[in-house]
Amino acid sequence: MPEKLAGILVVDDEPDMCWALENILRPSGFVVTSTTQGTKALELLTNNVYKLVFVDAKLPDLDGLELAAFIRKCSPQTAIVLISGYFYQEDPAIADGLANHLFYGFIAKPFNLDKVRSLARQAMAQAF
Amino acid sequence: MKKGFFDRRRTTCRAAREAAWLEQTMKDNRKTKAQLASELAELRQQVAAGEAAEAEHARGEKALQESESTLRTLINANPESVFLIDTQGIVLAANELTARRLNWSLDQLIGACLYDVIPPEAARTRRESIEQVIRTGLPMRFEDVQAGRYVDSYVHPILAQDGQVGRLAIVTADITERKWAQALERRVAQLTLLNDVGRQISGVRELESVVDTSAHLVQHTFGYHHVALFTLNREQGVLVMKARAGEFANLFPPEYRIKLGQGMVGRTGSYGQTLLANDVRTEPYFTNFFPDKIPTRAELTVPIRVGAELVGVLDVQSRQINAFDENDVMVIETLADQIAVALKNAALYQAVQEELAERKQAEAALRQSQAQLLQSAKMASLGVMAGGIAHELRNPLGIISANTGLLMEHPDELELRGQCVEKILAATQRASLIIENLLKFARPQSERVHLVDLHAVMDGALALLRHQLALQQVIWNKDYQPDLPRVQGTPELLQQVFINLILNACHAMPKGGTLSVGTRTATGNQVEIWFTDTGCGIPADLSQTIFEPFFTTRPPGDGIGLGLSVSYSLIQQHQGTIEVKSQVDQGATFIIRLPCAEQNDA
Repeated sequence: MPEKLAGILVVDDEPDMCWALENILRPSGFVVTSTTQGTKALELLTNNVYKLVFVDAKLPDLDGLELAAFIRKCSPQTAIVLISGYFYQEDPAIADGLANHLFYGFIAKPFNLDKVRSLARQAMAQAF
Repeated sequence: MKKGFFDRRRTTCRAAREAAWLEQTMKDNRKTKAQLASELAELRQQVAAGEAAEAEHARGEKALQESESTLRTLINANPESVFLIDTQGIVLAANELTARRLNWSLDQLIGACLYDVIPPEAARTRRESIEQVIRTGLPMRFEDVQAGRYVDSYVHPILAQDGQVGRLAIVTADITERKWAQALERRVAQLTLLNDVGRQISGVRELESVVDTSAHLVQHTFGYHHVALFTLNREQGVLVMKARAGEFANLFPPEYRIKLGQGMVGRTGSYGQTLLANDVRTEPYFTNFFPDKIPTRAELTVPIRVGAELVGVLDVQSRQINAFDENDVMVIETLADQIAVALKNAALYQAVQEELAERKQAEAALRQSQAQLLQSAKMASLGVMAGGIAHELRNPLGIISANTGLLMEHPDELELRGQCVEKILAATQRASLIIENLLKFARPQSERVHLVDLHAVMDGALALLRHQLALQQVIWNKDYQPDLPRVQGTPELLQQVFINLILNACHAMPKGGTLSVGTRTATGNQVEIWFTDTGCGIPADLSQTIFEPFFTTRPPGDGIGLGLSVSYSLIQQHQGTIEVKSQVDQGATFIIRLPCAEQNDA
């Protein structure tokens, strides 16, 4: 069901990263929206329901972790995957976030394309 | 000449002899006629011989008279006074100049006593000298003063048959003009020496050269045969010969020492007074350290004083009795004063040089520690920046990696592949630029000073810190005054200051905030660069302390507290100032003021 697979939001301050993620996910049937601004993401999240959000940990205007907490609060059913070049898997902030189910998964940059797609698939399946 | 006189005399002589003979013959009748004839012939022969001898004598006398006339012409032609006296001083002969000089006629002078015709003062000294010549039989030359004129006399003894001096030939010359010229020449030499020494030694900076130059100038100018310069070593009670000049310079070992009180040099050293011995035989303090080698007849020792303190002695020796007149003493004393001044200058110069060397050393050490501090501070800021830079590098790496994956997954989609390649290239360039900026910042800096465009420096700092700012959710804006005058400085150092201040602002806003940077011209031909944050602010009592080294509010391991102190010294190095205006919880503004290198047109 394509509509079930729809609804991925990508929030990354790098336009090229947004572009890459779109081109990685779309051929697999996902509907992808992307934005480079935290505030724009908040706006989109207020007006739409996304099954999955890829969040860059560091955004120029918002902290990715704060954005994640916000999403968790106002849209508990949305799965969050944190993507970061700054944090690493064992970082206390990441470990804590995973343990507290603040986010579903963590992807460190640079990443493997299949890992992104399989994580997306798992998250989508788990959501709802 | 009187020819008849000689003829008459000869005839008279012959007649007299024959008459005597005839008288004798008449008394003695016993002689035979033959005897008589023979005697007569013999007599005639004798007479003839006598006549020949007489003729010879007459010829000689004539020649003598001729030569006498020649001599008279000669001595009259002599421009100096020439005369002949006997041992009693009676004038036997004289040239006309001699008579004229004495205001006598020549006829009156011949037969008069020399000692009666010259002034009594000269008469006494000359009599002594002439009597010495009579005693010794050796010629003599002396100078004296006669009626206000300097006279040079040469007395030549003429020995009689018995080997004793019978007569004396005297030549006297008026050397007054020459004497005056010599005195003038000497005075000129003295003044020239004073001038030369003053000029030369005041330009000399090393102690050794001052004394050496002085000694040689004195020796060379006056031709004294020995000149030495001693400096006083009061602790050891000795005078140390620091320079010497003249014929005997090599006799003395280096640093030759004379005890205080020893000889004239030692006495001048003890009592600080000039000592003059124009005849060392009558000077009880004179000591000749090399009596076989140095024929000193006159010595002058002069104290060298700096203020009231005696620092040395100038020693001048001559082989001439009466070598030093009043002027010489004055000149040598003046010279000693000049040497004292030069010695003082040289000592001051040396002290200044030593101090300068010390200061240079201290400055070099300071520069080195400053450079080390600067490097430490830089490394500390690099530590702070490392997180931002890691993120900064991983972003392009992430893009490259993702696009590489897409390339592999889409072997046939040419358009997509093209876009991927472009994005890979762009990301590679970005990563490379980040590394380049980092290297530029980390590398030890050149201190080359040139005209600096502050906006370019600020843009560089912001580029380097863009991600740090982004990481900390610091929004920044810049407000540059167009056509800001340039400043004289080192861009790398100024950039480090800007980076320090921006990092400092970030630190003050841990939860993010706004950083405003800007430039403007200010009064006093200055430019201002300001950094305003919306952070925690600085308590008033810390507004100076924050510029002290190792002051930090961060927990250990997070910054070492060098950023602001290094910035402070770097701005000072650029003749600028840095100050902070802040209120707690109201943010802070750091203002840097730097002098413009260009005229402020704004």
